[in-house]
Amino acid sequence: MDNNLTIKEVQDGLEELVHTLVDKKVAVSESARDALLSALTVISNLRTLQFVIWNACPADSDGKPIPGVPVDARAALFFSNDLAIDEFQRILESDEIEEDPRVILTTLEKATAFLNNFGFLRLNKE
Amino acid sequence: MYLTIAETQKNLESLLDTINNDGAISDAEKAALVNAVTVFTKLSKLHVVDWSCGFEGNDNKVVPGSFSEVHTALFLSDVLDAEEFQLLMLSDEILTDPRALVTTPEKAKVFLKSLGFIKNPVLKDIDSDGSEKAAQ
Repeated sequence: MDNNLTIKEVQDGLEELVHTLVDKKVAVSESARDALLSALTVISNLRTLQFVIWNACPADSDGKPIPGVPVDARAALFFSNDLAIDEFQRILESDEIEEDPRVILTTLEKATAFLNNFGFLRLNKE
Repeated sequence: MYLTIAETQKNLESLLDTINNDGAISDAEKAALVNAVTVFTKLSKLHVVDWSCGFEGNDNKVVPGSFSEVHTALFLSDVLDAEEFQLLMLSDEILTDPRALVTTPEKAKVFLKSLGFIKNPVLKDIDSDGSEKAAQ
């Protein structure tokens, strides 16, 4: 049995399980059914979690990158069901991203460690 | 139907026991459930910690009346125990420690609510619309 599935594989498998339980009339408790639906909701939400990396380049007063100044690589975690990519791109280029409650700004290393700790070592496969 | 992380984890484990020997359930479906249990086991160890930072004077004492900024960290207790976290919190190391996501209380709540955990123990005072519940 594969214990290292991607988020999509877990979601697909749980959806099939729901159908099988209904079609085969497998007796399960109400609490087990609720837990399965709750798990499907969370896994579905995790699929909409976006992990974005960009380079914050220090700019001069004209807004142009300063030659020789190191580029600061940053990462953001956000849920795309609440925030469309286009909208994210817009706030990414403004100061709003620092304040937007839907976006957690962090570093590439921290975002990777955080997601790996959820158990999704194969997240990038998606 | 809003279950906490702990309730979901416990009930998924019970469901796994129920279907484990059921021939009607495929290996792929069982594997999906096993993986879901793993995720919820990890999530049950996710902690949200708030702390305040006051500006310090030259003697390292908080300056009275200085603006106190509230920070929040999301971290997993199985990779970072509470005692170690307290030490990190009191130093600048937490800002660079890869195991702790440092953010604001508001962002942490929105993040966890977006996962679907309205009844998360760390968010038990959050209403279904994401707002703080009034004190009973």
